[in-house]
Amino acid sequence: MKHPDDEQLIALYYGEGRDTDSLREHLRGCLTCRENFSSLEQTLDAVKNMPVPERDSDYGSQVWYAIANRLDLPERRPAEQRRVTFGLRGLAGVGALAAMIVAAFLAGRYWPRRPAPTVATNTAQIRKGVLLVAVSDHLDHAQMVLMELANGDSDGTAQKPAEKINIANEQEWAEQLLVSNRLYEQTAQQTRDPEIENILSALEPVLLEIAHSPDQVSSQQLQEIQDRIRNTGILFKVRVVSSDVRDKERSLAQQKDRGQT
Amino acid sequence: MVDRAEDSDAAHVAQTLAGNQEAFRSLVERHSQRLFRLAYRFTGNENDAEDLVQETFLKAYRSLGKFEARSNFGTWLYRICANCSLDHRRRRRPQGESQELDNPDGTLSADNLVNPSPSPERLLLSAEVQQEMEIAIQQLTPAERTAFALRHHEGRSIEEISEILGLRIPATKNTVFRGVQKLRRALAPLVGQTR
Repeated sequence: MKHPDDEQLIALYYGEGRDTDSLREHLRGCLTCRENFSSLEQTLDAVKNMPVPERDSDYGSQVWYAIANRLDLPERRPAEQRRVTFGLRGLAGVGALAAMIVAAFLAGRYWPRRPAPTVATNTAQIRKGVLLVAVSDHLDHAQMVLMELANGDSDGTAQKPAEKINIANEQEWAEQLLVSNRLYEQTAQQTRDPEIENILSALEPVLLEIAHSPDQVSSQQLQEIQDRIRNTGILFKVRVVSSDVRDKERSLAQQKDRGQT
Repeated sequence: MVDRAEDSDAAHVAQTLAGNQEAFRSLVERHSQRLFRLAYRFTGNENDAEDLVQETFLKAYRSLGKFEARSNFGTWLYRICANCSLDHRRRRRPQGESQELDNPDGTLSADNLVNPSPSPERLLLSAEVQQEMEIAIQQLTPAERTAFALRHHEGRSIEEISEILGLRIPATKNTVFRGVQKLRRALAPLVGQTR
């Protein structure tokens, strides 16, 4: 049997993987692999033994009292306005959500309307608010993908130059985000929001590059992607605009509150 | 026993949806301790973990209609907690904070290393070692840390983690693998000395 790689040893530690009997047999006869596995065990055992602070026995009641007055009515049916959360399942709906928002904007812009200035202003504000919330979520997700890639293999996890690094999940996120990115950019053009338009325009080539990368990349290829992220400063730009968008969201909500009182 | 607890969870969910808030209280009291341990593994900080527990229950309550009676309520809470934690870490990471380990080779910086010649007993037990481990874990990306905590501390299978994080199985395996490798490199000097 050839020497097992680290992935096989990690699987063995967790009691997973195939052919564990022959793997153990190999470890018995191979000092190098045995030492490698022993070092892995020591590290993981040490981490496992890290203590977690104890809570009082009535911690559950404490949690209840802390949240009881903040409980809203639970939704009886799956929500139509489901907030997109991190993860592929959440992202799968992003394109559709973006399409709905764009459609709503186009409808608001091109459908004939009766003159009703106050209502029109409110409607425009609501539509602006919807876009800000959607773009804010979109930028958060983009930031997550960029961060995962920027930090991927930061310590040289792929030990040999020929070893491939799996970026399939980041690639899939990028594909999903690319669709919504284009739709939001189109909407930002129509609503004349240059800050959002510019950041989405800068984000597109980076997402495109990630989405079109192979599932498995070499250290060099990953380094190129990371260099591009760093050199364009895209992560920083996304953070800045994301923060601005949140400020705008808050400001819009305050305006709305003042309008209601 | 487990089945009975799960049945009971499902019954409490149904009662909550029928308008009985006290039923939700039972769920909170039953699951808080375990959820805190998980939240602490995700955040590495007591206050953040407590906030995360509360946020998880609030989100769970608002989304209770989406919970399927056949599912395990505990696993469902884990999923919400994992996603809240990922959101938290993303939003709270300061802009200038280093995303990587201090040294390019993946080890911790000299300032962070423990005294080079203490006894193995001291090394194993010292607060410094624990601090080093916490620093090493904090250096993982949010996804790596969450996946690692679920695998390593909670004993969740790759399939379960994949379900909780909404990732494909190869991507989940890879995320756990990357996390373990980073920890090994960061903690290598300590492990070497404790042999």
